[in-house]
Parts: sequence; C-alpha cells; structure tokens
Amino acid sequence: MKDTIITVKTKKRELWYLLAAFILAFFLNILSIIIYHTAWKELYTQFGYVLVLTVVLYVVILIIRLVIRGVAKIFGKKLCI
Amino acid sequence: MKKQESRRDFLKQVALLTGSTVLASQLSWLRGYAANPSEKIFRGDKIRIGMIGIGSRGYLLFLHLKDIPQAEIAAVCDIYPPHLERAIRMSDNKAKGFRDHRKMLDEMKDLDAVVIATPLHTHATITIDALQAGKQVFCEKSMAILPEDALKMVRTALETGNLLQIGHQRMFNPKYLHAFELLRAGQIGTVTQIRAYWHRNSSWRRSVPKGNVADFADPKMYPDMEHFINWRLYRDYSRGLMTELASHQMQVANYILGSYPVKIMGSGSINYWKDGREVFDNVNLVYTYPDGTQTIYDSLTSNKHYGLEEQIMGPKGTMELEAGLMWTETPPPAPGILQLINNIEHGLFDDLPLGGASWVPDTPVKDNGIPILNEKLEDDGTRLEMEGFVHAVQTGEKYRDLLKQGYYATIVALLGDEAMMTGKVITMPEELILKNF
Repeated sequence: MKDTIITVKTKKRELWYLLAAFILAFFLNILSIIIYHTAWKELYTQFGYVLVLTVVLYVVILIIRLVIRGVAKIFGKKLCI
Repeated sequence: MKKQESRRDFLKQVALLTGSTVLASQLSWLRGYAANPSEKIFRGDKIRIGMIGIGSRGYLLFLHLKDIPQAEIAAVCDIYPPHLERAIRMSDNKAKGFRDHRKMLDEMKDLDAVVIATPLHTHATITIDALQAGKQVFCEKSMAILPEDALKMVRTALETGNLLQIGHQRMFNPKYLHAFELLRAGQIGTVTQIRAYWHRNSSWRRSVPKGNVADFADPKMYPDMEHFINWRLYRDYSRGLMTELASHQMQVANYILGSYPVKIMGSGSINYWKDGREVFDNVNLVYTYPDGTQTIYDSLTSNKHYGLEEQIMGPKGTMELEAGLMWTETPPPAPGILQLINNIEHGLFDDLPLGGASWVPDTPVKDNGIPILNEKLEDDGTRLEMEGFVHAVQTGEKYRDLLKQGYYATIVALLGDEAMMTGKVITMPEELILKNF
C-alpha cells in the first residue's frame, strides 16, 4: 500500500465545492421560507438542517463529478473536476 | 426524607397555585393562597379534628391531615374495629376512638371540625348531625344517595352558617387549575363538547372477612358482611360508578361549562360482573347543558385500556386534563426547509395517481400535544384540599362556591343514575336548583 498525497490544489477545490454546497443549502432555506411563508427566524433555528443538507449536496455533487470523470476517462480525456 | 419531599412538593404546588390570578378572583379557597403566597397561610392555633370513617379513602385523608402542623386529629370514629384501631395507633394513641359519630359529637365538644369519609348512604345523616353540632365539615363526594338529602345538607350548612366542603380534589390540583385558566383565556375557543370516561378492569369487590355483621353495624342496615364490606355494589348504599367515579368528572365538566345539565339521558347495564351486584358495571350518558353543549360520559369495569380522561373540545383545540396535554386545531407548520425536502421527496418517489381523491378521511391527528403544566406533581390535589380545609376552618372561610360545585356534581350523578334506571330522558327538576345561592 502506498501513501496517498492530497495536494493543496485538491484540498482547495474540495473546499470550494463544500462552500458551494453550503451556499446552495442556505439559499434553499431562504427559498423555502418564502415559498411556505414560514418565520424568518428559521434562518438560524433550522441551521442544523442547512448543515445536513450541505453534506448531502456535497455528496451528490461528488457522485456527479465521479460519473463525469469516469465517462471522460472512457473517452480518453483528462478532466480536473 | 419522604416527609421533606412531600413538603417541598406541597410548597411547589402552592407556588403554582398563586400564579392562577384569574381563578383566584373566582374561587374563594384559592384567594387564601393568592393572598399569602407562602406556606404561612395558617394562623398559629391548631384546629381539633374528628375523623369519621377511616377506611381506604379516610385513611389517606388522615395521613395528609397528620402531616399538617396546624391540624390535630383529636378523635377518630369508625364502626369497623380494625380501621379504628389502625387510626388510633397511627395517631400515636393521642386520638380518642369512637364507634358512633353521635357519641363522638356529644363527648368531644371542643372539636372544631369533622372529616367524613364513610359509605355514601351515611353522608347526609352524619354531615347534618355534625353541622348542627356546630362543627365545620369536610365530606367526601358524592354528597348523598338521594338528591333531596344533598339539598338538606346544603340547607343545613346555610342555616347553621358552618363550612361544608365536598371532596372534589381536582379543584385543588394545579394541573386542572392551569387548564381552567387556559380555557377561560380562550385557548381552545368556546367549549363545544366534553367527553369524559373512567375505565377499569376490576370487579371493585373486596374480600369479605369472617364475622357477624351485628358485631360491627346495625343488622337492619346491613343484612350480612358482604353488604357491609362491598357496599359500593348495592343500591341501598351507593349508586356505583355514578356516585363513586362519575361525580368527580361531572364536577369538572360543570365547572368548565359554568352551569349544570338541563337534560340527561343514558343507558347502563350489568354485562360482565354478574356476581350478584345491583349497581351497573357499565354506564353511558349524555348530559345536555342550557346552551346545547353536551358532556358525553361513560364508565366501565371490564376494560382499562383507555383509563380515565376528561377531553375538552373547542373549535381552536383540545385538552386532556388527566394527561395534562393540549392540542391546537391549527398546529404551527413544519419548518420551510423540511416542507421543501418533503415535497421534493414526494415529487420524486410518489406514485402518479390515476385520479384525484374525492375525499380525505378524517383520521386522528398524530401529535404528542403540549403540556398544560410543565411541572410534574405527585399529589392529585388531595393534600392541598386538606390544607384548604384547615385554612378555611382557621379563617372562617365558607367556600360556598365549592359547595355549589359539590352539590351539582352529586345531583347530576344521581339524575344520571335515574335516567339509566328508568330509561327516560330526565330534565333537571326545578326544586333541585339552588336559588339565591
């Protein structure tokens, strides 16, 4: 078994994806407050759900990325996503 | 340790009671607590109490009174020697024992008050004797076995000017008082229906000891030991479920609806405990109040799954007083983000209906409810009820509002029994309505 090296570039990229997932989850919370006419205090009272949704979205994005990367590999292209 | 806990629990209850400011203006006994929001609601003098009837309920009252420093149990009276001996022993042999209440009233002139917890059919005679002897009286519910006897008891209390308090401990239970306050504040809107029930799964029969009934009581009153011990099962002494259980819950219903029923219908039978009893083992009644609101009552002794409850319903919500919970008809919506996720999930995974539902079944709402009172209390109000009695004897309070509650609770229990026995719809007789009270 050999050592795995995660480069700074990779770490930064994953953090950007995580941030994007968080912003999307936060935006969905705002959207749901508007759609369902619930209280604005849910911006912070439901913060736990936003964090859970962030993780879920990150995993979903990861799966999509892996699929795209797999397809690209089949066609012999190298993608850095 | 247990005594300390009991005292702490009591003080906690008093603190909760003093919060009931709206009710304090309406309930005379509560004013005593509201005016003195501490344990110092009593004067220094001890009151001397004679206890008449020290069986199961009487013994519980005895233990509560024994724990109240301002109460001195000076005399105990019971026709059944084992109960009498136990009470004397528990008073550290300080209480004088009697087997006849008249003798006790004659010999113990210095008694301030008496507490009566005898079989129902003896309540009226003993209460009237005690009131006429100048004693302040606490009598367990129901007041009497006949409506006219209950009326006589009230009249005697008014004529003598003495206190007559009837044992409806829910009026001293902080959980109930908070519920009453919430109801007054319109928490569930106008009360449109009350459902109350008390379900047990037991015969209510006690084992009968060997012996000759003539050694304990007048044989003309009780033909044998079975009737003497299991008096609740026979119509000469009791009206069974109606007077022993229903009167408690009907008192609550009457208080909440602020009135008494004007029309009563019902049906009862003995369909399970066919053991020679004379009182119904299941009862089902509908009480209609002047504004058309109804209390639906039932009690049975062959199933305990649903236990006991008083369900108060209005257009804005529901309360269950025994459970101490309430529900709103319009619960706050789920957080927006959960609704969004839920809708996305349904959109993705639900089957596509071929046709829209033409109706939605009115299945019960699954909701754990909101507690009426956050505090958990051990006492059901009986301890505070005894404190209230001692307080009234000391201060000269008469608690006439409580007497009125006790009276109508008894009357509607007895009229309910009459409705079931005759199979007729009973209207509240004019002569039983308290006037200028």
